Amino acid sequence: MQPADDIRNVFKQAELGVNEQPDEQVFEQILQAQQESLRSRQAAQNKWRIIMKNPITKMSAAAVIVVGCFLGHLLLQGTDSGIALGDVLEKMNRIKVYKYQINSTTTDLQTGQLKRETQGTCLISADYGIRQSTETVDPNGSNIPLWEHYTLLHEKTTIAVFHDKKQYMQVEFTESTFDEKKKSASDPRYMVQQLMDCNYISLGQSTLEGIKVEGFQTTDPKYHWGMLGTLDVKLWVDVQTRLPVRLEIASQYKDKSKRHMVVQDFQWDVIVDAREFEPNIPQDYTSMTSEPITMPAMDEQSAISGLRLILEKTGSYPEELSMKIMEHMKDLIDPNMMKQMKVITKNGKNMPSPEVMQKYLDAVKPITGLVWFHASLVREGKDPAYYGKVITPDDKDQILMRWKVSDSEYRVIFGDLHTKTVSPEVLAELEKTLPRQ
Amino acid sequence: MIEEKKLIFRFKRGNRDALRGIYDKFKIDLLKLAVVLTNDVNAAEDIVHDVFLRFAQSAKRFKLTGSLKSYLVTSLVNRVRNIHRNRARHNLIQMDKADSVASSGRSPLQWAVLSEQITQLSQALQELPYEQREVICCRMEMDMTFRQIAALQQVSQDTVKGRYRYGLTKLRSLLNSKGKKCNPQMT
Repeated sequence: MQPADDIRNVFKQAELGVNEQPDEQVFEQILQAQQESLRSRQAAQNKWRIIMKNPITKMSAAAVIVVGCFLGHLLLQGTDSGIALGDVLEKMNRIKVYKYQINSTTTDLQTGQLKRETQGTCLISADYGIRQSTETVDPNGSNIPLWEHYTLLHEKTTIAVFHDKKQYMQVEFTESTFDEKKKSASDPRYMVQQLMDCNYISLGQSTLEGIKVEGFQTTDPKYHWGMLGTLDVKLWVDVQTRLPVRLEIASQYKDKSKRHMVVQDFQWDVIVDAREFEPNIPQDYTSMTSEPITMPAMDEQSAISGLRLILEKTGSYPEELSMKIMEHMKDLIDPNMMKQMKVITKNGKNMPSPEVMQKYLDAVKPITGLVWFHASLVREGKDPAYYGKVITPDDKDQILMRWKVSDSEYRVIFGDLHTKTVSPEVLAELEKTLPRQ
Repeated sequence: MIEEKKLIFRFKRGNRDALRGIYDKFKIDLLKLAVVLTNDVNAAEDIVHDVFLRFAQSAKRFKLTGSLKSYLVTSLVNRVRNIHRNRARHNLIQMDKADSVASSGRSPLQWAVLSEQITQLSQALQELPYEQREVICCRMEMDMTFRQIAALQQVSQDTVKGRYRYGLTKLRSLLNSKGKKCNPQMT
């Protein structure tokens, strides 16, 4: 073989460097991926250990693994693109501006009739925020502007403009609550993230509007905190670009109604002007509240305030800390105020006065703070646990809620709502004394 | 090797410095390899980014059987091959026949900064059949043995040596014919 030193020299001289700023950004993304992977793995392992203690579970699990491997093999054969949802999300997060269409229909399950049909566009900019416009389709087929919603990044504010009511609502957020707010159920990034956090399956490859796509599906009830009822979520990703082509959520709320939402017609990296994010509020529109609404902080104090309010109104703690608490709002708020507020849900035309609306929102604020705080602990992998099903205010030294502060510390809210920081060992001892659920 | 094992041990426990060490040790070599294999700096950046992301995501379950370098190179080469396959499948311009995009449309804030030499080398390499290019690049850029490359390509060592020999001859001739200005010492 001829000596290859000459070619080796050419390779050596062919230099490549990196720009510091993007290099740091890439590293931070990689670091984040590592940390997230370790967090989710840890959570999964904890659950796994508990489940595997049961001998019947062990046998069932063995069967599931065998079947799972077989199915996995079949799935792998069918999906040679091997798209990972993490990659899809990561790619979406790298795109600064994009636009898409949302169509939604709601059908009354009792009558089988179409209750509402809406269509809208959404523009998302990493620099400015989110603007969503929605129209409804009337029986004659005409489009009637319904509402516009602005999420303004710099102001940490959302503004909703309701054209049918000629009113608007402004909500101001803190840094942490704003992060939570950005997780709109119809934001495709959030939808992909939610899908990743649920049990999902691959639907294999298919063709959609001439594009080769790979599908993913979940029916996991924990999607969007279980607020959407029974559901079926499907995501179709372009095999070539690894970006979403279509997202569908079919959900059914009890036996009352079913909703079908489709997010599609994505346009990636569109040109955007800051003026598109300036809220358009016509002169004759009035504010729904007497002053801008401020959201509660997502911290321990908010959580305790929320728990105390629920305890005062109902005599017990909520069984779980999901958005489902909002369904029981009637038990939590002053009956007179609730009576005035019912007009909102029953008949949107007779809106309560801004003062009444303000009072209502102030009253529900502690509950919102509690739910959001718990959600943020889950999201940040702080190992939260809540025992509202078995703990009462009389259980003064029993754990009502706990979360991890550091590797050596847990914060605990006890049954009588006093708090303490304890070591993991002490926590384990305390949890041993919990009543059976 | 022991140092690498220690690094992996710490990486699997979420140590930031260990990940930083691995990243800094391999990023330039991997970027170079991706650029010369694809002749597309944007695709190369995406590929290397993806390689590191997948590696980072596998932290807890990661088990190293050979060297970390081989693992990362295999991961990178598989992605390059996927791109080739996908482009061919979609009847798009084949990467190796495309004009070099190595220096076009780049902003100062992009990750990789290419020298003139790597741009020229990368263009010349595109004239080689992909398998030969892979052998030459893995051998020259990553100092891989023929045995390692044979395992990577799932062919015999003799086949790899043949690809290497043909590839070298053609590359030498290409670089010479493209002008002594690329490398005046070339014989």
